Formats: sequence, C-alpha cells, structure tokens
Amino acid sequence: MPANKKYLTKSPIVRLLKITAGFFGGYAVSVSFHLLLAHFFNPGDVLITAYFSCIMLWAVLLLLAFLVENVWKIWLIYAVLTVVFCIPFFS
Amino acid sequence: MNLRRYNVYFHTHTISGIFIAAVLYVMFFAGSFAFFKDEIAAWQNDASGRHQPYNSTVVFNTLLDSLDGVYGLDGRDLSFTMQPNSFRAYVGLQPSKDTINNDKAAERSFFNYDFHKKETGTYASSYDLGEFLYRLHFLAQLNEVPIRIGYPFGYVVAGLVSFLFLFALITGLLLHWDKILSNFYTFRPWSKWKTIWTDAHTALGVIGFPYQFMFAVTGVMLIISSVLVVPFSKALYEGDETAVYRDLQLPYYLTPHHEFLAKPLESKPDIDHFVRRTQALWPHTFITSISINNYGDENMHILMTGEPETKWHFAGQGVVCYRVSDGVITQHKSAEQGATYLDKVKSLVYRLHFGDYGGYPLKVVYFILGLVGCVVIITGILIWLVARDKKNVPNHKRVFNFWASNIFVAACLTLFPVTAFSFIAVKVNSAGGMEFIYRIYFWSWLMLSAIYIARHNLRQTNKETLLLGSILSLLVPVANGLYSGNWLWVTYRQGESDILLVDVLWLCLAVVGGIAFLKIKPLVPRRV
Repeated sequence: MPANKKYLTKSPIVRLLKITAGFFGGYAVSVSFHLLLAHFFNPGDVLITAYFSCIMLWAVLLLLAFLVENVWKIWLIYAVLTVVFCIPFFS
Repeated sequence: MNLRRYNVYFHTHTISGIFIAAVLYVMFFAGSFAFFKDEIAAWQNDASGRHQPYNSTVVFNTLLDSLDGVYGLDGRDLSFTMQPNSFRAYVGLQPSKDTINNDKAAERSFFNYDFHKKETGTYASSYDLGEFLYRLHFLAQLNEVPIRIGYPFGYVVAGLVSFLFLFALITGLLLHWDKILSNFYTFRPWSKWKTIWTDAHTALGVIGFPYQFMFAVTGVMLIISSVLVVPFSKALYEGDETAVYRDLQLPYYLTPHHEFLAKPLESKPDIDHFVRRTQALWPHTFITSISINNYGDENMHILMTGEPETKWHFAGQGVVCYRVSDGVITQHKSAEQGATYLDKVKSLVYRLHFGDYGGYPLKVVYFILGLVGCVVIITGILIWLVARDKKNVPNHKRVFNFWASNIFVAACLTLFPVTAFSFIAVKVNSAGGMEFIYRIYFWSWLMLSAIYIARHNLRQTNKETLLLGSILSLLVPVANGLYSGNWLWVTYRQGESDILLVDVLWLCLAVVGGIAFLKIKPLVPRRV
C-alpha cells in the first residue's frame, strides 16, 4: 500500500525543484524571518526562541513546498518573502 | 481529507523515514543510554558520586599547588568545567603572560581531573563508555571520516537526520490526523504482519510523538546551532560568532579578559574561599565552571557560573566574578533569582533534551520512551518492506527492498547485544580508554551485523539478537560484581544508587528481552 502515484510529482526535475525549494528556500524564509524579528527585539532573546521556532517553521515550509502544486509559485513566494524579510539589512 | 494531500503526506513520510531510519535508530538507542552518561562513568570506574560529600571532596587549592609546581601558574588563565554527578572536571591551562619568570610559559595543557581519586588523565585515557554512547548519539565518531565539508561530518549527518526526523514526525501526524483516535485504540496482533507493524507503528508513534518532536527540534539546534548562529552573526554581529555565543551566555564565552599587570599578589590566592563565597550566594546551585584570569596577578579575576538544582529552580544561570586582590564582586547575576527570558528558554532546550530535571524516575521514563522510538523505527522499516513485497512490484525492486531492510535491521538490532557486550568488556578492562572502547564496540558491531546480513533472515535476526542481548544483559551486573565487587546488594547497602541503577537497568533489559524472545512464535511459514 505505498502512496498512490497518481497524486505525486512525476517529473524528476520538478521533484528536485520542490525539494530544493522546501529545503533551501524554506531555510532562507525561516532564518530571514527570525533575523527580521531580531532587528526589532533583543537578538539574544530572538535567537534562543528561534532554537524552537526557526526549526519548526523550516520543517513546515519544507512540507508546504510539496503541497503546493505549482513549483514556480513556491519558488517565487519563498524568494519574495526572503527578500522582504531582509529589507532592514540592505541599508 | 483531501486525497492529494493525504498521498503527499504519505509519500514524504515514507521517503524521509526510510532515508533516516538506520541512523536515527543508532541515535535513539545510544541517546537513551546517554541519559545515564554520568552513571555509566561511575559504574565503569567504580567511582560512585553518592557516598561522599561533594564540597569537601572537590578542593581546588591542593590541586592548584601541585599544578603550580609542575607548570608555574603565575600569569596563566585556567578553566575548570565541572562534571555533574561526579567528582571530575575538565581542566584547561592557557599559556602564561609572564614570559620572564616562567620558562614553561608557552606550554598549555588540557586534562581530566578526578577530585576523589586525585588522579589526572588525558581525555583519551579517561574516556568511558558513557562518554562513548553520549558521543555516538550525535555521531561524533563519524567526524573522523575524512570528508571535508567545512563542518564536522558526523554532526552534519546528525543534524540532517534530526531535521528529516522532525519532517517525518509532522507528516506522520498529519497522515493519521483524521483517524488518530480510532487508530490509536486499534491493535490487531492476530492479523497479518503488515497490519501488526502498522498498528504498532501508529500507536507507539502517537504515544511518543510529543517526546520525539521535542527531541527532533532541540536535537537539531544542539548539534548544528551554526545554521542559526552563522546568519545571525553575519547580519547582526558583523560576522563575530563568539559575540553571538556571548549574547547567548554560554559559560565558555563568558571568560573574563583583564589586563595582566605583572604585579604579583601579596598572598597566595585561595580559590576555595571564593568557591565557598559562591556557595553562600547560591546555596542550591551546582557550580558548573570556574575560570581564572591572570592567576597570581594583582589583576586576577575568578568567574564562576552555576545552574540551580532542579529541585529548586527549573531555569536559571548564575554568573559571579571576583577580583581577588580585594575580594570585590565585579559582576553578579544570581543563579536562583530573576531568571531572564533567555535563561528560561535556554534551560528548556537543554533540560528537556537531557532529561535532568526530575531525578531517576524521569530519566527512566525518558529511557523507555527512547527505546519505544527504536521500536517505531524498526516497525517503520518493516512496513516499508512488507508494503512493497507484492507480485506487481518488479523483482529487482523487491530484491533491493529486501536487502536494504535486511541491512538496516541487522545493523540496528545488533546494537542491543553489542552494547551489553561492551559494558562487560569495559569491566574486564576498565582502563582501556578510548581506543579499547572503539575497537570493542565497532568491531563487534561490524562482525555481528555482517553475520546477520549474510544470513538475510529478518526473523532470525530479531530472535537471536534478542536472545543474545538478553543473556549478555544478564551478565552485565555479574561482571560488575566479579571485577569490581559491586554486586547489586553491595551497591544497594552502600547507597551507591548511580552504580546500582546501571545494573538494575540491564537486569530489566534482560528480563524484557527474554520475555520478548519467548513470546516469539516458533513457526511462521513466510519469509519475513
């Protein structure tokens, strides 16, 4: 009773793009989000909170990349979010 | 549930799970024993931390006198990292800033010191099985594999496995979400094998979920905190990682750096006096580290950090710094009052992961849940195999699946007898140190796994490792009695609860393993 292939990604390239989007993109979004928090709050406190929240958020974002059907959409969303979260650090 | 989502959860759970299964099993198995790291050290070295008062045993002045005789301490920085539940410390001596009067000024030294036995040992010679299993649970031994990726290889693997484990936990929970209650109460042991594995996997997985989730999250951060610290240091600390760790208040990074004045103190520094002052400041606190800056100099400082005993406070980290010349406290943060947000969350990370906040009962619960985790992993592998062992699956895939499972199961299940065997071996040769433990553990593991891989009969592997493991477990307390005279009743009478605990643990494992072995039905006309 393995999972029904009908619902899974067939193209290996799309699959790879999903995995990389979730793993690297998810990481970038999660870390940049916490960096943004650290910009406004005490960095030490944010960092220690991130010990829990950053990892959990990353794992959820990895899963999200598999759930969204269009792989370009997820790449775009993650890229935009990362850039937006990093805005305070560009100056 | 949306069918597509269900199948995505299913597939990602299966793939991430089978990918990490074998390594995760090793981490869980070794990690379960690592809760008793200090007890195993006491057990192996016949050095109970129980029947002797700590404060009168751990005396610094005599040690410093003898170190002074050997190295000349004036102008050096020294550090002591105290090992909980024992009388041991890691000692570090930095080069002296007084290069004129000391011809050994450039020398530095790191060693272990046992305040009870008054013995010094190198890291490798003081290495014990507790340390080995503790380090095995985050794959430190894999660091020696010459694969250079800019970060210790074993830690990267351990971190990646923990992260995928977290992912598998989340997908696993979502997969069962709709039927979580009904499946939880379902167990059909008379059914076909796949149903049995599935029911056990689901029920135990759900019971252990919060525990395993907590370990996956804290585990990732404890082993590869760099994934956070590096970007934080780049974005907010101008690339200075030590500044990040200082903000996290990790004791090692709090070491004071004061100027060396090259003016000797009028009298010899009395470290024990300052230790007593700290104990008076924080009566319910274990002093975790002592670092001395500019020993014997006018500008000598002593910094101590402490963690409150969990009986009194769950969270908190104390820091106190003394200037030795006039005894003034230059910095103070109580260990027992006013824990900050940082202290609280940090204690949560460490204490939840180490399970050191509720005495032995809690550690035993942790240990059992850890082994339950091992069962979930093994049943996961078996579901994966049995679900694919069908006629419509191409033969070459079935062969591959079978051999992958065969290797995983053999490597995992042999850990039980191998660990028991290593406990016996370190009793026979307790001074063997690091090299001996490596050789005993890894060779016996390799050989036993090779035998079972070659026999490629999963049922037989399970049955025989249980039997062999149980017999060897039974012999662990016997070995302790024969080679150290620490029979169960002796340690019980002397109140050496740490040594006794290890023996009782093995005895329980022998009984549980033995019952499991006897319950295995003799004949099953199938391959798996």
